Amino acid sequence: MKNRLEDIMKRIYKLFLIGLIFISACTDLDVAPKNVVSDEDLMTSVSGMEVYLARMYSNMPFEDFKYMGEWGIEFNSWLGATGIEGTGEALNRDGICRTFTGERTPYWGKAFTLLRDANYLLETLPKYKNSFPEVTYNHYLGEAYFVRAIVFNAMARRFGGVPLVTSVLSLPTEENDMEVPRASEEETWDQVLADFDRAIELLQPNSPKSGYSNKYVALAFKSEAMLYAGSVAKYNETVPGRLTGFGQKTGVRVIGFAEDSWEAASKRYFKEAYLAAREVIKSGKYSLYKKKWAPNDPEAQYQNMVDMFSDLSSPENIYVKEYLYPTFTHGYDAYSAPFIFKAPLASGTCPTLDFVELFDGFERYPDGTIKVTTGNSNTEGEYLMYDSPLDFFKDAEPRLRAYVIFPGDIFKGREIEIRAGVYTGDAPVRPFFNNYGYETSDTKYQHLDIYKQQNKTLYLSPREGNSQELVNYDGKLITAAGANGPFYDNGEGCLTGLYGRKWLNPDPSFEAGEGKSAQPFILMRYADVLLNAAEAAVELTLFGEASPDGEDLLDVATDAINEIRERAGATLLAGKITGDINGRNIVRKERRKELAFEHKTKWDLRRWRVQHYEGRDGFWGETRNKDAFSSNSRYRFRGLYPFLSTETGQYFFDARFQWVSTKTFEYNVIDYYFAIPGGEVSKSPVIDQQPNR
Amino acid sequence: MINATVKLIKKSIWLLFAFCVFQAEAQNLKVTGTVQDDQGEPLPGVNILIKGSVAGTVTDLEGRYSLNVDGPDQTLVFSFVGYLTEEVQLAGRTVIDVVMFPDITMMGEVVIVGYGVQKKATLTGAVSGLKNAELIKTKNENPQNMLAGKVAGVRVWQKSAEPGTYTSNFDIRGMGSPLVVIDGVPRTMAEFQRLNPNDVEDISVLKDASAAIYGLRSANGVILVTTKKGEQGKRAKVTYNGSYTLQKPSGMPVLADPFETMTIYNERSMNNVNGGHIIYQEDDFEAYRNGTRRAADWTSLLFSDYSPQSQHDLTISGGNDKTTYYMGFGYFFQEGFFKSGDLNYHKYNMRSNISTELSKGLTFDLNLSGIVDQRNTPYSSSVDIIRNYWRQGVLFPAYADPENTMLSYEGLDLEENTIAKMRADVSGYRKYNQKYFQSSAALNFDLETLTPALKGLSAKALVSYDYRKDDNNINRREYYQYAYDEVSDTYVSKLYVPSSPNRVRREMYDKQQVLGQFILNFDRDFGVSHHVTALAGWEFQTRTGDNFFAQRDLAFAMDYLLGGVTEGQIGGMQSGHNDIYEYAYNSLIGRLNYSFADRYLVEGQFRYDGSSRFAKGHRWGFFPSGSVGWRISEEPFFKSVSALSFIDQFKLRASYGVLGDDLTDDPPYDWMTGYTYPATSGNAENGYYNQYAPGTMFGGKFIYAATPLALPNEQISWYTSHTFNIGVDFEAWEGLFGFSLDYFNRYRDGLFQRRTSEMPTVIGATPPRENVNSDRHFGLELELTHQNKIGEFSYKAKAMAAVTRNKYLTAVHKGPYGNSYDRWRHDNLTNRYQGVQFGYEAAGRYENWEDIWTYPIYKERDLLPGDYKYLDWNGDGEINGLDEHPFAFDQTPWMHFGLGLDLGYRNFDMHVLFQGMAMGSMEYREPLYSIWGTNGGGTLVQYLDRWHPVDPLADPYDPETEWVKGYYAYTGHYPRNNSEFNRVSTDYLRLKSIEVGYTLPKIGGASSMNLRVFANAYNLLTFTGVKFVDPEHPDDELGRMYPLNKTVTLGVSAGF
Repeated sequence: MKNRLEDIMKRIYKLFLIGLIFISACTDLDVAPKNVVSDEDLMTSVSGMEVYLARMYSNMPFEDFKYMGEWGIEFNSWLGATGIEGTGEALNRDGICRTFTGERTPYWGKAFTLLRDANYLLETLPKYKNSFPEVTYNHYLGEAYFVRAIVFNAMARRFGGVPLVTSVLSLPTEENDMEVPRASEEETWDQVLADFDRAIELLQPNSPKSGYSNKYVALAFKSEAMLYAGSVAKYNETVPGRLTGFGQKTGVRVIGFAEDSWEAASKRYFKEAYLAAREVIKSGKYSLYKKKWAPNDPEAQYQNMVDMFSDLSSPENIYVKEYLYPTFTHGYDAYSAPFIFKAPLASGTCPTLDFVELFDGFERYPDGTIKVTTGNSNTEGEYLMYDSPLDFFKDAEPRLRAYVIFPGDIFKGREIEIRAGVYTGDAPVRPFFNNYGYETSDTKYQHLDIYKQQNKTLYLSPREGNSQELVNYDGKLITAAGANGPFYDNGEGCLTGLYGRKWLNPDPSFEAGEGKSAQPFILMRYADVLLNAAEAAVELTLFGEASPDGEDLLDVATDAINEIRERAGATLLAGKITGDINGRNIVRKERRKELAFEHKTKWDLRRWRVQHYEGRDGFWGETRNKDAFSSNSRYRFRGLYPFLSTETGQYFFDARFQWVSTKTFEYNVIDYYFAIPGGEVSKSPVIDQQPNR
Repeated sequence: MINATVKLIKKSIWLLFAFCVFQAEAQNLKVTGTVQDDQGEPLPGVNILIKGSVAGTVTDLEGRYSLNVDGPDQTLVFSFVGYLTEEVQLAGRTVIDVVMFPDITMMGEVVIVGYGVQKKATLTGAVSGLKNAELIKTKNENPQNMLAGKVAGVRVWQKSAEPGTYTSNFDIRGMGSPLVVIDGVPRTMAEFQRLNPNDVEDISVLKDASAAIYGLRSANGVILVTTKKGEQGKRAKVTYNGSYTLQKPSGMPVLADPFETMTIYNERSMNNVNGGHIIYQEDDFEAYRNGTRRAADWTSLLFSDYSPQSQHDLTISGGNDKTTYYMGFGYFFQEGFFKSGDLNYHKYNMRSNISTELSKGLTFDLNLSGIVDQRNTPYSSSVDIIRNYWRQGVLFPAYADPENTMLSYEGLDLEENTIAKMRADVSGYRKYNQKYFQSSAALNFDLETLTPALKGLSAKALVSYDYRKDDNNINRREYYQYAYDEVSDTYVSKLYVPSSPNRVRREMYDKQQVLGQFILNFDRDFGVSHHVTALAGWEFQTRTGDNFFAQRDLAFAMDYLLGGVTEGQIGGMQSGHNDIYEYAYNSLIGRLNYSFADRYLVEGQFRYDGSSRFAKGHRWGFFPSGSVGWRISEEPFFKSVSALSFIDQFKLRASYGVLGDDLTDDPPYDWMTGYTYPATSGNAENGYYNQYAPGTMFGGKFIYAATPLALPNEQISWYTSHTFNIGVDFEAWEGLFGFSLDYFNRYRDGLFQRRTSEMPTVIGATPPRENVNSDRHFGLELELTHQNKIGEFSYKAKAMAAVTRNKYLTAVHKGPYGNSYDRWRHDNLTNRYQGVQFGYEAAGRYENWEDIWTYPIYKERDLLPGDYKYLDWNGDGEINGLDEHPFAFDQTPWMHFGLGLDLGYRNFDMHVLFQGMAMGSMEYREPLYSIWGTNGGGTLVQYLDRWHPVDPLADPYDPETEWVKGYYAYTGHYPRNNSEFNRVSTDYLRLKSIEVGYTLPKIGGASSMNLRVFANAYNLLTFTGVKFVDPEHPDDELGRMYPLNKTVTLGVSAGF
């Protein structure tokens, strides 16, 4: 019995051993990680290529909700706001509200990664050419050229001349250090031009799917890029001492243009800009959005322009960056909605009075500024009174109302109450300040005696809620500041008396929050193209150039502006645009108005070279007294503040430098080209810093 | 295993004595009693002699004895191999119960090493062992923390006491995360942390080349854990341990009251050189005083006075001649400091270790272990809750209504009400469930049973299968908050938007490993003096991991996915290298030990290790090591000198080995080309709104991208460590004094680095990781032991200290530098000691206006009395970046030390552990640095200790103003971040643990019941220069991490 058991045990033991040896012999060390795929997986099918293109598009330097001028290409919509880069469109309480003099994350390293992706596609896809029909194959190559053009364009706008990497570089070897120096600015723009042209040649006329490029997308972006190039070549010359220079290490003209080539280059680029824009226009594929538009109906015209920013089927859309809740979102509404919708922040985009003054439909003082008193300037006469704050805006252009929420207007089904304070003194009311100039811009309402003294007649609120000052009016208590502020000790309230409406989700059932927004961002629309055509046409005329396509250049410009104005509900031009500075300024001003809050103006101000002190007269796209809003080096913007007069039950407005979260801006000539990241300059023997830095 | 061996020895000794001891002569007085060890176990076979005579007896199996003595003043001498000898004066008593303590200098003590055991006396490597008894004298939920201060070179600093998170930094000699081997099987740190300390028999730490037998995973040292076994020939023994613990935070800054808050905010506003103003006027103060305005007492709303913790263990063990068994069951519960109780942790442990002799020479071992734990937290993390607590301030009430029923949002920054965040029933919860199953089965066959020629040769085969499952349930609840509207006299409700919509997310992870071992052991004496042991073996291991998750927005608040709506539902998996993986090891191991007359000791070992993580042709590595020992005390010449006879042990030893490290969390698959799919990025749960999104929209759908791998490097391989250790062990006067001193030095090369600084950016690719960097760790370890007994008072002391330095030798990714200053200032790696901080040295404070006006340095115009002075290090008359120089260590404490004391007096026992660290520092950050908040927020009590005018309304910039001194400068003026004022040394010495126990006398001599009650305190007393927080509390999470705890435990252990 015992022996038997032992035998069994021995057998078990042997089996166990054999099994063990068997298992160990089979432990295979050929185990690759499970989530790695190959070129062949991606480049032999339409769905695989979609994944490859998704990589490129996810890294495109597009400026939309996930872009902030202060931070750069970080794909971050935290604190999302638009028009706050010292362009005069809007203000924001945070440190991010700064002039566009550089980006926290310079667009350098990410650019070369994306260039590599594009170059790799161009060099590798030919291996798998037979996997696709020729048009599809060509379209993919066209996408790669398009990506390259977009990247070089984004870099050239920031830095001038950049390294033109047009092939896949391998690791450095003994023989080749793989360094590529910066090309001249002119060569860089020529590369942008060449890549756009290759893309236009190869891309299909229609995007295979939304989100892909096509021939007309490339043409539209090309016209914008060439307008930039032409402007820079020309307006560098208006900067004191000409804005150009040579790299220390290479002797290459890394910024600006040569004295003998700028004019030819500028003409060439404007011509390309004009022709590209014209080709888009002539294709007839796009038109301005007018689904709800009706002639002589401001309400319909206003609603039409509100709708166009969320309508993905808009015929005006040329290239749109889409989002999808909850997978792929941004947070614009969470930061830039009015204070009553605070979630978790608010009031990120508060348009300025200066911006409002670009539009028609307001009474003006002789100097052109908006009229709020009966006299000839802010300090003269008494405040004009209105039964409701919205009455002040009754003649405002419908487009402005679509872009800006006025005090008392409706947003998401709620009245947006904006009130800076309540005045209990006698009416009519004399202006609060005796000086509205830049030099006294630090004197604020809370410093006024009528607020500080014992029997005060001015009530303001430091904060919302229980911190509001209460005023007895009409037998009941009302708060000094309105539901949205301004509150003088809380920058989260309304800063300027106005709110941005563009890009906010207008759906009343939508609950804003971080990562809850999925509004699309229109990166390129037909109006851009019209304005590009108009500006290029006027610039060509200024150069005395003949029309590249035989059309009357000034007719093209005039038609474009009128088309946009008609849709906007603005007054049409009295006559044909003239081929002079006035004509050019009409086009520029229209551009500022139409494309406000779209990350375009900050680039326009740069390429026009009008943001430094000497050029600041033309800052607005029209000539203005720069001393009214700036000192030698710095400048500020104004708000429009409604006050309730309890004596009359009416509202009056005070036009004053923004006073809640004082923002002062500065811009110098040096800022027209961003610095090359210092680490890149010290790391490389061939990368030059800007010669003026 | 060892325990069993020791018991076996005990048993045989008893038998020996039982037969040949001289029978005591008849005397006129009968003395009886029992003898136990320090664990309350009866000790059989203890030799009892009447001092000065040859008369005596031995204890029986129950540890009982009786003896006749001839007078009441005799002294009894109790002695037993491996235990300290006890002398007890009768002093007229007739019942003498004795507790005997093990002699830690015992020559026969064995230590667990890789794949075997060795006698401590003849050990040649740097290996420290720790027995269960020593371990459990510190009461903590995490065995890592129980090791603190006990083993020289094992560095533990606890970062947080958050239930179930096990956030401790743990390493050996500062070398990085060690390999954990539990019962012979490489396992994970998480499994070690979750072990029931009660089940642990023994922990061994391989600190030097002795770890080389673990090859590719050995470079950072190895922790070997052995769990308990049953004892042969013992009847079933049942023990119960239960304890209840009260916890309090150790260093938790709290908020000041509303009046102090308003004063501080007024000061901050007055601190404006161009003229400040008062924010809160007298009527504001009055409003709080008379109750018109309500403040929030966040501290008492959010934090419990004490938080409970409890532990219950039941073990059953025993055995007969053939079979032994040990079964342990444990339950552990810990609640967090938050009043809601929604932060808590439950853990269940089960273990069964059975060993049986199947037939002669063939034994079978089966070890099974199961761990189930659940960590519950509110939906918001503890960091978030603490951050929010500090940020909100007390000036706005927590509830909108005076009855405290409606959570308020008014006046709260971002409308975040901390109470809602703390309560799972309001804002939702997160449940982290983990289930571990560990098993191993081994057959051991003594080949001598086949033929005597194979004497000393045995074969062992082991298979092990481990499984871990994670099941997480993350449930977000939508909630509303309220505000009182004075104008309409109503309450307005408002959705707290980030809480919406209700959402549930489930995450499942599944990880397993299979391991097989086949080992031949040889152990034989040749002649009198030659002893040879050898080992050869083959081991393989595969590890796999898989996972998936699903997320849905819910139609209404409920717990399961089934309540979800279709729109926006997400499913997927984590693609990280720790989430989905498969890798394998194959290894050949060998070791040979030879000792001559226990005097000259030589050991050689190797592992030939293959890892699937590297490219073909680069997978296999050879890791040899060798060590030698010389026991001078065993030399005949040494023994012949009687003046040296007080020395029991004097040994020199040295070791050297080549070790590997492929344990990096991010395995180097850099030899591959291609793409990883899908691309990933942060904050996927919120649609990547504030991050790069890893894809784009095509055709109305989100298409994930693929991420190209870095440029390939087929040569990529493991890090290689060259470890050298030299040590001396000394023991003398039979335990009165012993020390052990080690010097170690480890060079590592082949550290992964990408040549980012060299590769031109224009290439646009990630450079490959290469084996290019190198560094060095070196240091000293000292252990001192002392044990003694004076009358009935016995004590034992063990002190240890260790210091480590780490120096980078090559760092190819640094640079290039513009100039030599740039290099000195910014190359913190190449040829630099690690852990050095640059900053400003303190030079006192501006004591008064006179001081400000005359102090010879360039100054800003807004200086005030109490402001900080910095050392003008470069002497240029101004304080700027150029004055920054190395002035402090970083958070890593480079030195640690400990002193453990065991005291015994009659039935009382006491254990004291002092422990400390030095050569580290921490920086106070955001909320701990300055008032970080608005609207009254961030006013922590500590900020009250400041320079301020006697009159709170006085203008601080008026030279006539009279000042009161304080720790901080006037509110609004803070020291430079990286200055001596703000970076403080974390040197500390603390009473880590103190335990007092009392073993109840036997109720009736025959009872086998054994009952001990004890009280223990953890982190009771700390001496440190760190203010406001615990010195171990890191500046991670900007100082908002959940604090450490101080605990008091009452417990009982019973055995029968």
